[in-house]
Amino acid sequence: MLAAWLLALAGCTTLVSSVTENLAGDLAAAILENPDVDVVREGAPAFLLLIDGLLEGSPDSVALLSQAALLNSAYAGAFVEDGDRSRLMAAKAKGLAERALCLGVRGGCGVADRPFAEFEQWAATLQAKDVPLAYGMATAWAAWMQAHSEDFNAIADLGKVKLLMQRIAELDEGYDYGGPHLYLGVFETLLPPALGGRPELGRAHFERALALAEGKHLLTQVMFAEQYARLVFDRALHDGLLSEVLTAEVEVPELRLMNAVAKRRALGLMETADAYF
Amino acid sequence: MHIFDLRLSWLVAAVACAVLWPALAPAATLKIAALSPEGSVWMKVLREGGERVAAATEGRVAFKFYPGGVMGDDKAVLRKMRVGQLQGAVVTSGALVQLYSDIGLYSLPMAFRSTAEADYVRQRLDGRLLAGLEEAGLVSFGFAEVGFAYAMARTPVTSVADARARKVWTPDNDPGSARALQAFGITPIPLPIVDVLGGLQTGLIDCIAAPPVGAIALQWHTRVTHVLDLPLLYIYGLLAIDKGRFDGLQEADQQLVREVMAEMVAKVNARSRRDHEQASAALANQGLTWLSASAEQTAEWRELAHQASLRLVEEGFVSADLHSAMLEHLSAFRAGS
Repeated sequence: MLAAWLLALAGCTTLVSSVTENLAGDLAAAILENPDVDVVREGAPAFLLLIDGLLEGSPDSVALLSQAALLNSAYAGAFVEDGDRSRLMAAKAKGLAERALCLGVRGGCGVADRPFAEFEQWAATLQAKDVPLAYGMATAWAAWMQAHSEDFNAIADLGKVKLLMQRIAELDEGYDYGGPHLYLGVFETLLPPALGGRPELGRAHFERALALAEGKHLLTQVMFAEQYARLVFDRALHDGLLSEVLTAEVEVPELRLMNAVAKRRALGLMETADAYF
Repeated sequence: MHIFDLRLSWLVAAVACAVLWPALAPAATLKIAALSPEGSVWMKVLREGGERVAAATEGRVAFKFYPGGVMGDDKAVLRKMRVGQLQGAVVTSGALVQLYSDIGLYSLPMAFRSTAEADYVRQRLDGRLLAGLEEAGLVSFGFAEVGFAYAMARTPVTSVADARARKVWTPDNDPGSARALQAFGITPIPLPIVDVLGGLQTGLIDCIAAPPVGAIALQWHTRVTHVLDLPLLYIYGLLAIDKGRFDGLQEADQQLVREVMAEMVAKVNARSRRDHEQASAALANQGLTWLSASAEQTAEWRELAHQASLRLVEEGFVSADLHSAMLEHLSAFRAGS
């Protein structure tokens, strides 16, 4: 009798949390599928608060944690220009992704703070099914590093983030329209060769990401231009990639917002190109 | 509508130019190369300085920057400066020793024991070095430190003997560093900077001397476990502009460029000090162990460094009077502290 009660209760919790997760998923979709960048910029904070509320009720929902991490880090990266605010949001997103990883991946608790060698061993144990949560962690972590790019404690994590992204690329390189290669392209083009960077390796990653995205994920061309073409002063490549973005007519619902952001960024890069090159 | 607006503004600009042109002196664009990538402190601050100069001189002096080593390595950049393709560069002191060897004064092995010593000596000698550089044909606006290089290894290294037993890296394009290491009886392994991380991983090398900011930026810290808390080398950079071209600017503009750029370089210097301290702390946060050498071990490092410095002075690498001036200032500082 008691067992039946418990089962019923458990079932109930499952039901509640799956409604919540669906709601969160729908909200995330509504944001990511909205091509009106300004509307999202103005309106998203309310959604973020709402998701916080849902998390209060289901603090252990991996799906909810990942959605919240994704939205917080995307919003901080794309829209928040104030340094303090963006650092705060990025840190929150990283924390959420860490919680999701801890609940959803074996041995995933507290991995970010482990010594490099231990982290390396853990990353090697990841399997294809772990990719979504590992990728969520890697992207939130990268966004956190970006927001803290003046802090050497954050820059020191680059090796771990890169290693994680490399492992993800091994497991499922086509995930998120070639996202793992897009990130690796960025990581390899942070420094010029004279200072120890390997831009040509970055270029190979960007090209692989382009092939995997099949022209659907416009941020790929934008980052290729901004990171690689500017670093090696290849104006023809820079302008070619960006005009491709500006004239592209792609319709992928879940990428509508990101592609609209990409177009804006492409325009900004085109406008500053004369001064840069 | 947008396209029309754009055309209209072009037209207005063209007319305005035609009207104003006779009144304007031809603008001087100073093309400056840097190894620092876009977004780095050097580039942010230089661009700020460039904008200020352009505004204050009403466009008579403009800077154009080529970041990220796109103009080539130090050698290529200096060649381009000689033929007038570039007017200046941001380099580390080592790049200029061919033109003015005394610029390497502060990077003699273990010249300074602390940043306080560096500050004390620099307050008293920077002016002399800058004047010497100007006589050699380069106008500069001060030095910006990168920080001290420390020995980092995969095993504890505290004594000179420990270091001799390790496979120590030296940059393949930097004979000065190789000589400094040889002074300690170390036979270094030359490798390009891009191969250091791989070298540490495969065990080709297991000991490096690097400033903490560099070790973190290049993630070398993930492949070493110990850092010896003994400053081996003071590293610093500067913005240098071809004097012939600089003298061609109007006198008032020269003064302005000097003032603005001196302020900018001082800003980089202060910021780099903060970064150096933060990066040193970050190494510990990342699990690296900072080691102290014993008094005897420290004395041996210092004695060998001193002997090496004296040899470099004998060979004319650094002039004797500047070297003794530095030693005198250091004695005064050490007596006072």
